[in-house]
Amino acid sequence: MKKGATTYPGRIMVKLCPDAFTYLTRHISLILVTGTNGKTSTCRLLEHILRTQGVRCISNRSGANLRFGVATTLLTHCNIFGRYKQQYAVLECDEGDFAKIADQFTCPNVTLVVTNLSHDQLDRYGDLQQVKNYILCGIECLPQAVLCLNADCPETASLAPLVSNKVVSYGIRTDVDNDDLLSDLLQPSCILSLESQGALTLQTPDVAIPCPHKITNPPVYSLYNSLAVATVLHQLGHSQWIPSCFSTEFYNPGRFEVIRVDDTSYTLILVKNPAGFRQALQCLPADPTDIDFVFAINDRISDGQDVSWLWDCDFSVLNHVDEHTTLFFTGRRYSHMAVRLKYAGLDPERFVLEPDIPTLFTRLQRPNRHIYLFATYSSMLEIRSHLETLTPLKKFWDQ
Amino acid sequence: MKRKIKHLIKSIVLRLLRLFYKILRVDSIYYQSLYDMDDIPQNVRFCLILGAKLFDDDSIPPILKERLDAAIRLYHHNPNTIFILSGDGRKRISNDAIAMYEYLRHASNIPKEQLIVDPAGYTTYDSIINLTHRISQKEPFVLLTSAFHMPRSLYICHALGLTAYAVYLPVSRPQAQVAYRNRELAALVKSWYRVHFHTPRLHRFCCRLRFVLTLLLCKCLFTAFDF
Repeated sequence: MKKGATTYPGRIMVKLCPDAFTYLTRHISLILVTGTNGKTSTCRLLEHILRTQGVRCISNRSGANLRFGVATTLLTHCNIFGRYKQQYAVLECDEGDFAKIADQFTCPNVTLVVTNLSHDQLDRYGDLQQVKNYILCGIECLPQAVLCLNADCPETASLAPLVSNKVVSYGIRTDVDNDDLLSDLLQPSCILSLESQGALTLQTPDVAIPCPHKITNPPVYSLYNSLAVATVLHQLGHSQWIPSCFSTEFYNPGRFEVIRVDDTSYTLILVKNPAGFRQALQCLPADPTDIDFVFAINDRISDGQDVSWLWDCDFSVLNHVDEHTTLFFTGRRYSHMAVRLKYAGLDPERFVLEPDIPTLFTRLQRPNRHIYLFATYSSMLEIRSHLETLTPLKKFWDQ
Repeated sequence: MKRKIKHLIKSIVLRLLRLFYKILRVDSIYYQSLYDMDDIPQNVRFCLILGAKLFDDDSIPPILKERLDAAIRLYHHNPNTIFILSGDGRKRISNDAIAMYEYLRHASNIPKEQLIVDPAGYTTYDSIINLTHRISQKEPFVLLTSAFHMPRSLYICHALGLTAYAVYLPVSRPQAQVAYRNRELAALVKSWYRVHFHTPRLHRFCCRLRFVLTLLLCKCLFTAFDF
């Protein structure tokens, strides 16, 4: 599917046949993923595991998660009678649009994952309570759905008492007390134990499953994505595939995607909201040397036109990077970001403001440097398309 | 030339629709059922208010406001009236049925027990059919809607064997009424079809057929233009 045209067929379908989802979702088991952060990664991991295990499934991989995008994904794979060759549809749903389509989902087997809920795109959604209301409206329309809720996110956990659906919750528990990870609102039924030796064990209501993992120090949010997938697999009765959730490495463009161009290594990190930015900053190396940062902030509709969320992010971790590190700023709101970091206590002498991306990359090319690029959605696409001209890369829309 | 052909087709279709309108004797039914508010008997318990699409900013359009203001006047005339607010409730966050309820709650002192919201009034026909589930076939009711919409609504009631008292609403915006008139002519064909030929089974078949045809069209577009 070509760039920017991922939703046209679905748009036509929904306009001409407003009850299209009723027929499109009648003959397939749905796995819906919604929430603020981690939707795409969770969907991609789940789809990857299902495909690896020989289960046929469809997914809105291009990230078109509004109702037109979901309709496009479904209609491209079904035959004219609305039947599929695939067993599952793994669909990422925008949290604001979820309620608009959920009341037409007629499929008896629906699993709904709510990854987490935090402030995001306030210009579009209003406040967090509004987003919760949207999701609750959607759940109300799906009495048959099994909910997989993140018990460690207080906002997500607070949905459980408000619904009458079957709820399967998941959470992480460590040997060491960590208040950040704990929420008393909902006792998780699938618990991932992080032991001090680095071993992972998933405790389901029936059995404890040891989960080998390749990454020695995985970021917490990535563990949550894997745990969400493991919970879904447990719920679907595929517990034997759970260990692969924590050991699978899969290609997820724009999400900690490492791209090498000559001697320079680029790590492309998509940031959309304070929670995601905080998690991304926490994943920086503990003793960073030979690194530079690029902040590419746009304010287009897909990024959220209100960039005031940058002021809710905690950038104190950047104060500890070494003094030779340069901070580059690009995108339509580069100056806004520079002001934000100035107020975070960083020395403006180290700032380089360069709105033009090709010029920026000529200045970035220094041997043996590791560049961390924090980019909002549209600027991530711009940067990625520029990197595609420098090195052979799969196009974002062809993933 | 192209414009002339378009104009010719439009005028032929309109003439046919007007002929159809006359054959069904819609105007005759309309004038027989039209009452002044003061002439409506006190024993009529129910009043059906038909909704209208809200503006994009979820505000109430003038054509809906005039119906609701008439409802308030009716309440003062007969305080025992139970109002059925029928609208399209598919949009869950804000829809005309809820907007009507909120308007009447704020603008009048009608008790909430006398306001019944019917969110499944997707079309005029649906609103009237839903009403028949609440009242008996012989029980008369007051019908409140705009002047341009009234003849078709009364035709549906008449065809279903219901007794409706149509409240005369003075035409507040004549330009808007003219614009809606052609739409009403086309909608009358649909209403006529639904009243006389519509069965649940046929409806399911039609919906399914629409889905299959739309899907086929989308797939053709998908292949032809390689979206």
